[in-house]
Amino acid sequence: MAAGRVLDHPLLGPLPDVPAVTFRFNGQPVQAREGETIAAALWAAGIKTFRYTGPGKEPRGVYCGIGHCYDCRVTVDGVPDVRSCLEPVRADIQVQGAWERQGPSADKVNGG
Amino acid sequence: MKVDVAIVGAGPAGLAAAAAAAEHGLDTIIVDEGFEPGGRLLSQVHEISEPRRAAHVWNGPRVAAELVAAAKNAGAQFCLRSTVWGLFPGWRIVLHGPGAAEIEADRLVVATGAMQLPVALPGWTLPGVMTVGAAQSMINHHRVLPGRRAVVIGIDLLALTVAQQLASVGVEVAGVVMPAPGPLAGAPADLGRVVDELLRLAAWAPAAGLRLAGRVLQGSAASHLVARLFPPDGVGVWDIAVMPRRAALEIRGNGSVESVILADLTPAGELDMRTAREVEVDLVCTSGGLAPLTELPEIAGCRISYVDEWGASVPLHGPALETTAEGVFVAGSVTGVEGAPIAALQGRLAGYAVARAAGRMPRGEYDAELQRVQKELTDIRRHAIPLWPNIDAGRAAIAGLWQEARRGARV
Repeated sequence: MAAGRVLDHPLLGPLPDVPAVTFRFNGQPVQAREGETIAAALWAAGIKTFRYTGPGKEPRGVYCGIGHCYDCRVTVDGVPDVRSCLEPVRADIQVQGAWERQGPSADKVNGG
Repeated sequence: MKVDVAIVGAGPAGLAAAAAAAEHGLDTIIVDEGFEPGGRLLSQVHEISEPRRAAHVWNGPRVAAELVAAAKNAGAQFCLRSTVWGLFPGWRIVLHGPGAAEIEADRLVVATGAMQLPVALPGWTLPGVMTVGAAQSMINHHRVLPGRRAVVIGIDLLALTVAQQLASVGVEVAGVVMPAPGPLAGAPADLGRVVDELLRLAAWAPAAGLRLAGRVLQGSAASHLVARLFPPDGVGVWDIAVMPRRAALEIRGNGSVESVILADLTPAGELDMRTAREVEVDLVCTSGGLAPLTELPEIAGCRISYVDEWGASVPLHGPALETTAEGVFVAGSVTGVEGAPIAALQGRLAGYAVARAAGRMPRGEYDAELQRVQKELTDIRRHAIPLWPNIDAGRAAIAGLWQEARRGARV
């Protein structure tokens, strides 16, 4: 189920119009609002699992939302371990859930 | 790149420090991980009602924009999307990000803020479990609905504020509950402490509901006795059921949050497992308290002191927000969590202290500004909602430790 948007904020009013940006998450197109983070765009699109841990294959999404926990990390245009809660969306970027990565990863060392 | 002062953290403290330093002619750069300056201000939009004052809206993004404009107008440079991963005496600041890889600065202001402590219980890593801060940021900054039906775990000011915000944007809040007693949360649950917290907040509650609850509670005896009076179904604070007599044991879900197991607490704070039941939710927000982000002061060699009154560690600092490391200053929540208006004033203080240390601020002007800011701090502390209890006692403890350290250094 799509979590969706706060269309009418009791203190900030209606959601302002901003240009839409389209990027891809695991190959699928995702519509975002210009100037927001990848994490915000994914959550608004109803995508809550951003990656699976290395050993246990457990799902991970947004936890702290401020760049601390690294739970929301994804691969962006081939660059691994990008914190999606800090990374702005850009048109046509390719975002991958980290489980698709090859080779050694921090998950294997730290147990996720 | 070589500057007079580098400031780490573009929240209210860092932005105000940058403006104050740059206004005095210092070559100033401010570094932050985010791509927008403002820090937590960007997520803070709420109504405030303080004793003897009209209710007003705290519009964090607007405050951030004003602070950013002031810093920019004064000539401060911004280095965003950059993570500080090393600090070397002198100071050399090593960065990861698209901009500069290294900055040399005579002085440093560390304004890294605080983080939310996790509430660990089975299922807490499932997508759909997030800190109340993350939910606040989704609602107010990104305009994203974090879920449809939520339980909030942890009873404190931030939890209540965010629970109210969740409800105000149409998320059904099934309750604000306690973490289950156990090795991580303390056993049994300390109901007396939660009652004390609710009493403390009652005077500032942004709605009549909590004030009313506070008045009822204040009429009663000791807080641990008051805990007995709480019905397990909770008391209404704003339009939210706050349940100091109910605890979350486990979060369940196949792939993401689907439910949470709740059980009642006895008046003694122990779980009554006969009352355990499953409540369907797709969102669990946790509030485990705030901890200052002291990593950078630590690697800079600042002495870190544990403050009993707060149950937290902060970089030991003096009246001008100087630390035990030469040329390193601190400001904002990293020194103790009091909220954005106090953080911004501390930032100004640190900016002036840096300007004074750099010989760019005459003693007379410095002393006058110091007095003015300290008076303003005292005024704000008198009426603002303190995020932490025992602020004055904690500040006094730090002042004592600082004097002790100075004496030790002279011997």
